[in-house]
Amino acid sequence: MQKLFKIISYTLLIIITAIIAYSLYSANEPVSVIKGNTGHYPLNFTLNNTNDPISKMLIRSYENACEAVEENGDTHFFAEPADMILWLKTQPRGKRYWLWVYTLDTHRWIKAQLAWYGITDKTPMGYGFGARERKCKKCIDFEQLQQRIYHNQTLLNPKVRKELLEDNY
Amino acid sequence: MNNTLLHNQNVIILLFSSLISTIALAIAMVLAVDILMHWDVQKFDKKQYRLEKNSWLIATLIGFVAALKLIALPYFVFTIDALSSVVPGAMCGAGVISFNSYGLKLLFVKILEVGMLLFWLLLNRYDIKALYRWIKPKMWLVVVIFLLSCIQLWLEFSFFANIDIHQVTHCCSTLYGLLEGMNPLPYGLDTKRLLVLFFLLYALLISSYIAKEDLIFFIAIILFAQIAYYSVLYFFAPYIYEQPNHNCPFCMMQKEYHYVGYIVWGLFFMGIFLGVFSMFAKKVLQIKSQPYQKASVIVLGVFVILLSSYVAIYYYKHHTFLQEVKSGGMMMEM
Repeated sequence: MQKLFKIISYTLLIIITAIIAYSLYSANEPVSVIKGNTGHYPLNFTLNNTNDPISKMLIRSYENACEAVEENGDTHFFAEPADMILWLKTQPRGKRYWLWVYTLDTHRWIKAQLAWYGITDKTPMGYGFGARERKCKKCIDFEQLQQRIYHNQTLLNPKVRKELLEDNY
Repeated sequence: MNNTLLHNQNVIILLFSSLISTIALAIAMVLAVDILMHWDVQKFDKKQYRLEKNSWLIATLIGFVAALKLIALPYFVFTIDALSSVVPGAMCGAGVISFNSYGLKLLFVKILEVGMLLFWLLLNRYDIKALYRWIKPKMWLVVVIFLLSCIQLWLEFSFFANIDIHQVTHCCSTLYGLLEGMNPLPYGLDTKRLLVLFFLLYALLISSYIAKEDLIFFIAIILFAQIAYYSVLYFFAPYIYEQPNHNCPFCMMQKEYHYVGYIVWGLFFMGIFLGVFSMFAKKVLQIKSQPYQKASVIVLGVFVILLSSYVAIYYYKHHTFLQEVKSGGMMMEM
């Protein structure tokens, strides 16, 4: 009887180990951070398999997507500029970041500080800030973008939304 | 620092009970240090006789503190759950305990302290039988428990003093919410495999107990602790709540769910503690591990049956399961 249960125990242990090993091998989780980008360049990530840590959603398009690269090479991904600004606000002060944004007009990565931002664009989370390489009418710069987000002057604020959209931008 | 909650009746009772236990442990610690310095079982003088009497006093004090802590632990959970009606944004204890960085550390220290106190009482039982063979490690353990109690008292005070009732906290759905597409389960498991592992590990506990395979039993109990925790959160909890996306470990301690969380987590911790202790009993104390393994298998058996009954009852009532294949999330299967 004891011998039988000994065989059962070892069999169960092998099955359990096999299940865990197979799960580990076949796991395919979305990415939220890529490490080792010490050149601080923008990275081409996989769409629908990369998470925005602020909206907690998968990034579905490169257009308007952002990246924040830390000094140690850790690269964080965002679906839109507002998410990146909100994320930066949660980070400790004094750290250095390389910020990139994929523009709506020229379809390439540029430095987020050099981009111009429309204020009534369609964006995944609805903040309304769309990044452009060329300056457009009523576009704002990076600093104004930060101020607008910090002070809730975005399309998610009904009052601002009414004001901006009635203004026939 | 915000001291609004320090006037709350439940909080005062908790802090007072922690203070009383720390004072009792301080007395025990002083006596333990005396024993550590002067204990000599070969001597038959007055001092040795006094030390032996003091060791009994320490056992009484530890027994008293263990009883107090065993009551205080669920009372702490009850208190943070009750405070969720005061703290804006919190829907249950999860929101309150995550309000500041002290909360989860405090809960961990409290569970660890109860575990160490129970461990001390079991060790003491065998030490007396073995004519004080384990007296010195036992006394060192008193010192460690006293230090842990001081940390616990400080954490408890800091936790309650740093809850600002004018500040909004998160509810459990946010705290246990996930990045889209992210798998919350360990080893890349999905819910189906998690469940298979949950039952297979319990079967392994039974078979290794019968086969007297202590090492396999120990591996199984450690793995079971992890897998069972995630199984409760991501498979059984939605059946308890009858809500497919509710994965909170605290809400089940509320009245709406007949306080079943106390039984679920109580059985879980007791079963794991007995299982882990069985290995210690065999390897260190050199006594039979079987009684503790048997107790662990029985306690965890009740735990498994209780959780499974929620699924069975749900199926009986609705003729369908809540669970669907998507890992980390659940959907109604129609």
